[in-house]
Amino acid sequence: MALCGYFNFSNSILTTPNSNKEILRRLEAKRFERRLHSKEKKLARNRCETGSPHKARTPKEESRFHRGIARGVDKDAPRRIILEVPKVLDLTTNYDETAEFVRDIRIAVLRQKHFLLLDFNLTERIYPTALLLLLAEIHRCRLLHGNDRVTGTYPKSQALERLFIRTGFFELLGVKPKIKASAMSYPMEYIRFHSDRRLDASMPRRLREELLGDKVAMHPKAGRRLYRALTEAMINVGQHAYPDYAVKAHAIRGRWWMAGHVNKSKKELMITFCDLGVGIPDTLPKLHAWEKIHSALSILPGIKPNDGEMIKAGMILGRSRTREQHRGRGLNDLRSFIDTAGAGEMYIFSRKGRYRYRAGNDEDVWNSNISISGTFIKWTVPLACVTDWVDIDEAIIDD
Amino acid sequence: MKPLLTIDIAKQFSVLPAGRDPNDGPDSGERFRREFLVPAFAEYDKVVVVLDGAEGYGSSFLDESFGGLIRVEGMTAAELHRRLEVISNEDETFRDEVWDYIDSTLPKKS
Repeated sequence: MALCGYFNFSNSILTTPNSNKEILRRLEAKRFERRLHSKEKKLARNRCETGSPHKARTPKEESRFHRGIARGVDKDAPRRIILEVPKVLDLTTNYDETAEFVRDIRIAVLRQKHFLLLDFNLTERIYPTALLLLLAEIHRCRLLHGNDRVTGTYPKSQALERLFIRTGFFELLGVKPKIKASAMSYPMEYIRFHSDRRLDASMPRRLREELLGDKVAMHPKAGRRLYRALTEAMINVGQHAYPDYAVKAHAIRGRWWMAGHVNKSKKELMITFCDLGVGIPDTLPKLHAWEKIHSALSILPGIKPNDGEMIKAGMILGRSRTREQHRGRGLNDLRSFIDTAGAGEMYIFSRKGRYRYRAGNDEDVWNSNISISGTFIKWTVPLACVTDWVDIDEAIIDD
Repeated sequence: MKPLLTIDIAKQFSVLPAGRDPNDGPDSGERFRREFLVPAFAEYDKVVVVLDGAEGYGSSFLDESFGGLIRVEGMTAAELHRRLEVISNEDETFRDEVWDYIDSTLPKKS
C-alpha cells in the first residue's frame, strides 16, 4: 500500500511536464512502475509456491485449502501435499464445494506441479456425477505428469471403498484394495469408467451390457436414442472441446470419460459423460454468429450471455433447421434419450453454467462462480421407462 | 440407367454408423454418401435406403449423408423426392429427419 501511495504521488507530480528534468523524472517513474509490477508478480508466484494454489480465493476456499495444507506433507513422500476431500461430493446438490475441490486438484497438480495425496478420512458420500469428474481430473493429471502424481488414502466407509474398487478409482489412484468387492447382480449399481480419445460407436452397447447384463433389456427405441446421444457427445468432444489454441497435450486432446450407474432404490438409470475441454460457452460462438445466439436467447445485442444461457442457446440453435447452418446440431441430440423415455432429466454443466432439461420440454439454467473446466452431461431416467426390468421384491409384494 | 437399387445400411455399410466425416470415425456419413449413395444415384433411377437394423443414427451422420447430396454433390431436393425412398420401420422419426435435412439444405453453390 505504501508503495502504491508513493507511485500515485510521483504520477501526480508528472501530470504537467514542462522541462527536460520533468521528462527524466517521468522516465524514472515508468521504470519504477515496471519494477513494482515485476516485484508484485514475483510475490504472487512465491505465494503460490508456498501453498496457496490460487491468487484470488474466497475465505471459504482459503480455509479449506489451508486445512489440507495444514495436515502437512506426506511423511513417506516429502514433495507430496495432502488435500482433504469434502464430506459429500455431488455436482447437483453440492456444486460449489465439488467444483472448488476439483479445481484445487487441477491447480495443485497441473499448475503448481505438486504431488498430491487425497485424504478420504472425512468423506462420507461421493455421488456418480462428482465421481466421474474426479476420475477424469485425476486421469488427466496422471496422463500429463505420471502415474505417481495423485494418490489417496482408504476411506472410512466400506461402501465408499467398494465404490472405488468397482469404478476403477482405486486403480487410478494406485491404491491396493483392502477388501474384496462382493458379487453383484444385474442391473449393476456401478461399473468401471471408460475413457477414449476418439469416437467409439460400440461403447453405448457395451455400457448397456455392462450395466444391465443379458437379463434386463433396454427398449430398442431407447437404445437407439442412447446411441444417438452418446455418439454425438463423443463427436462434439472430437470436433470442438479441445481446440488447437487451448490444448497442446496429445494425451488429452479429444479425450472423454463415461460411466453408468443404476440406483436400485430409486429405480433409476444414470449415464454420465464428460470432457475437460474449453466448454460449450467457448465453442458456441465459433459455430454460430453472435446475432443468432442473442436472437435464440431473445436478448439485446451487446449483452453478454452467461455460461448457463450459452448452453441453452446451443440447445435452441441445435433444434433449428436453418438452411445455412448444418453443423452444431449435435448438442440437441443429447436430449433425445430423455424425450424417448418420456421421463427423467438431463443436466449439462459447462464451465460455470448449468442447464437442466426435463421430459416435456422443460428447461432451466443456472450460473455459478466456479468453473468445472470442461463439459459434464448427466442423463437420469426411470428404469421402467427404458428397460423391461422388474423389481423382484416389488413383484413379490404385488403377488 | 438401371431401375432400382436397395441399400441396407446395417447389412452393407455398418451397424454402427456415426459421425460426419472420416475425422469423426470410420463409418461416417461422408463415407456412406461417397461410397454408396453417389455411385447408386449415378447408376440407378430409384434408390431405396433401409435404415433399420443399425444401433442408431445421430444428426451428423444423417445430415452429412443425405443433406450432403444437395450441399456437396449438387443434387436437388425435388430430384431426391423423385428418386429416393427411405425405409425406417423401427423408428419412423429417422426417416422424417432425413427428409427434414434434404428439404432444409441449401443447394451447392456453382
